[in-house]
Amino acid sequence: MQTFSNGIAVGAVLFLMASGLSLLIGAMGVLDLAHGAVYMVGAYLGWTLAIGLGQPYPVAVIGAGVGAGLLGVVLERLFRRVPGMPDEQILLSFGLIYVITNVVQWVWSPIAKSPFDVSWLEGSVHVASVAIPNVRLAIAVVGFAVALVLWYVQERTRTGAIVRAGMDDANMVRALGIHLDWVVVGVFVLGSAVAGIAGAMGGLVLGASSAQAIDVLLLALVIVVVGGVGSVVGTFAASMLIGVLDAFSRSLVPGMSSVAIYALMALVLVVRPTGLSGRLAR
Amino acid sequence: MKVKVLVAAIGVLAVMVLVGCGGGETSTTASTAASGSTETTAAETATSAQPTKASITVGVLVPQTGFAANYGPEAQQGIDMALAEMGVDSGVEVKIITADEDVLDASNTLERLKKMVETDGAQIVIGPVFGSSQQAVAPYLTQAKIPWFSFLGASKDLAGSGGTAFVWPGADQLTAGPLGDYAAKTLGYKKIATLAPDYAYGHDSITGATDTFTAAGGKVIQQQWVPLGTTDMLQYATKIDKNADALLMWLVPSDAASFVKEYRNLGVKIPLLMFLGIFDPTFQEVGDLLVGEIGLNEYNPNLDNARNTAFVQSYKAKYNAIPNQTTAFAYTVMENIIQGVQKSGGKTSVEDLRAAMNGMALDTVIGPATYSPDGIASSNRYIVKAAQAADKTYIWDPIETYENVGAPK
Repeated sequence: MQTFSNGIAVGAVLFLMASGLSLLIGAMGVLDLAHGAVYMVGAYLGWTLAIGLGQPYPVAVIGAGVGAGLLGVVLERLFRRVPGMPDEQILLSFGLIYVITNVVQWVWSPIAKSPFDVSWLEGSVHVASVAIPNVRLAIAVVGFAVALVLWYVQERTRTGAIVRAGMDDANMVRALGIHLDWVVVGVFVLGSAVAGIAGAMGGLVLGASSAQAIDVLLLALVIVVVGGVGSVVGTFAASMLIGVLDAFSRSLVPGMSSVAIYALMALVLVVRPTGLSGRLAR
Repeated sequence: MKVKVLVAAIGVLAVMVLVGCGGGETSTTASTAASGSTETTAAETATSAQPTKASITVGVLVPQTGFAANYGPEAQQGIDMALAEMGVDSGVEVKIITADEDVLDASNTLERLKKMVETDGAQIVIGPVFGSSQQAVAPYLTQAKIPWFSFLGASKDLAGSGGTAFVWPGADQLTAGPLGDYAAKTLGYKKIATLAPDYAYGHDSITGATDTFTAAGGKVIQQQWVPLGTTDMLQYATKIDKNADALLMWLVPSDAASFVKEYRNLGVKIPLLMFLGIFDPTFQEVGDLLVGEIGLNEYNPNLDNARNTAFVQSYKAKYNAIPNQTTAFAYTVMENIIQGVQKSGGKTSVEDLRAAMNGMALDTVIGPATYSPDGIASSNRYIVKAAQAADKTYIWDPIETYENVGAPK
């Protein structure tokens, strides 16, 4: 049970990392591989606000989300110039990763920040023989809340319907007189803000490091492939599945733990190429 | 089509992670920036004081990016201080060139080392730091007959007939021995669990401590090896065997801080036994979680000897901070290199340096030390206890000294 609980806790972090990316790829058809860098910026902003400036942690999380959302506006303007061109989008992404990473190293130094200290989140909750650190619970709560909000917006609102329709046939949506570009900007800002919130929350257990731009992106992409692009439910299921798989593989076959999630991805690609959600991106 | 592109992107990213391209990890930038300033300082200081008797090029190969990026600037500070202090009188002109040790891909480190030696003309190398890097570069350095100084330990197998290493402050397999001995004989522990990274240094150093622990009648009941690059420590913290009297651990500083936070949050009460550069540079961030815990230090800024007192004062004056082990040992090794080159009459071959340094009585920041004929140092080890000083900072308070540790007897 302890291992399963650990996996759910890890899965919550993974969901926060991946949900914004899934939304961006699904809604816009843009391969924003700079998403990991946005997460990284969120982690450093969270550290600056909470540790550097001593602000309450919820303020730091919101600040990280706002900062990352603003960065999302800039990224959207850049990706707008290479619509429907995946090769160019990937090249642009890698350029942005290097630029953002170097700016972060310049501003915060290359030395990683250790996990953030938040006094009211110290300790753990014990349920029978299972111990769950409070920081993990906090991450899980935020992760589930974000999942719920994203699911509600995507599945139960008019805006979500436009986004889903845009994923399937953007030209038809435009033909109906809907200004899809503004929706796309909004989705980009939302996805980036979620990445910023993920960075600040993930910082509670992972700290902040300039290596996260790549490390986080790699995990997030695997989750998007396994969950299916653009699906909140699929991303959530994939995150939990991979979190639990990672926990059990580290516990039972430590030597193989680093390849377990890639083996799962390969299996999903063979059995169900569209991912758990079965949704195709445009 | 979209999924194919995503999978291709994952493949590219995986390769980037494996070859360490993330985080702007290129040797060129670091090398240029670091070598420029250091080279000028050393050369100008030496030549302005007296005619130069010897001129050497020293390559510094330590991590400058990624999760172990703290090693680079910390080592550079120590080297700068040694050059500034010795440059005037040493008669040895030192040119420093630097490159980034890629902790996650030793082949990258090897390529950067080759450039350092074959293109930039390094005659002596300081570093690399990580055991996996050391194992990867040692055959090349042996073949090229380049002496290299490991300033944070190395396997004894890389010195003597096994290679061209000079190992400071002692061999990995032996250096942590006092902690196992102290745990069994003084603390009376019977059963311990261990936690360390799953690479050469982690295994060697943990084995050094468990060998002395079991030799004194103790038993190792659990060993966890953490894959290199793992940042989420929850799995390992929750799996500690609750029957252990203590947990013997070493992790890289940022991971150690993560682990201790998880450990404390879970409410685990099993005492910790920690060794070697524990938590530098994150100790102050987690010091409150460690008060009362026992560790083993090679270097400690609170050591009571004249060399260390002067070093700490000088460091404080220059950097307004307390030096850590990485800085102190880079300082010591740079000093040792100059002393060796002075005694060898400017010769830098492995044989000449070993002959020059064999038995040389060294007065260092950790007390008296010597090098064996194989180039392995013997020096003091200190059992320390974490405490809070009067100024509210956290310190490792030395409580017992083990002498002449590090070289095979």
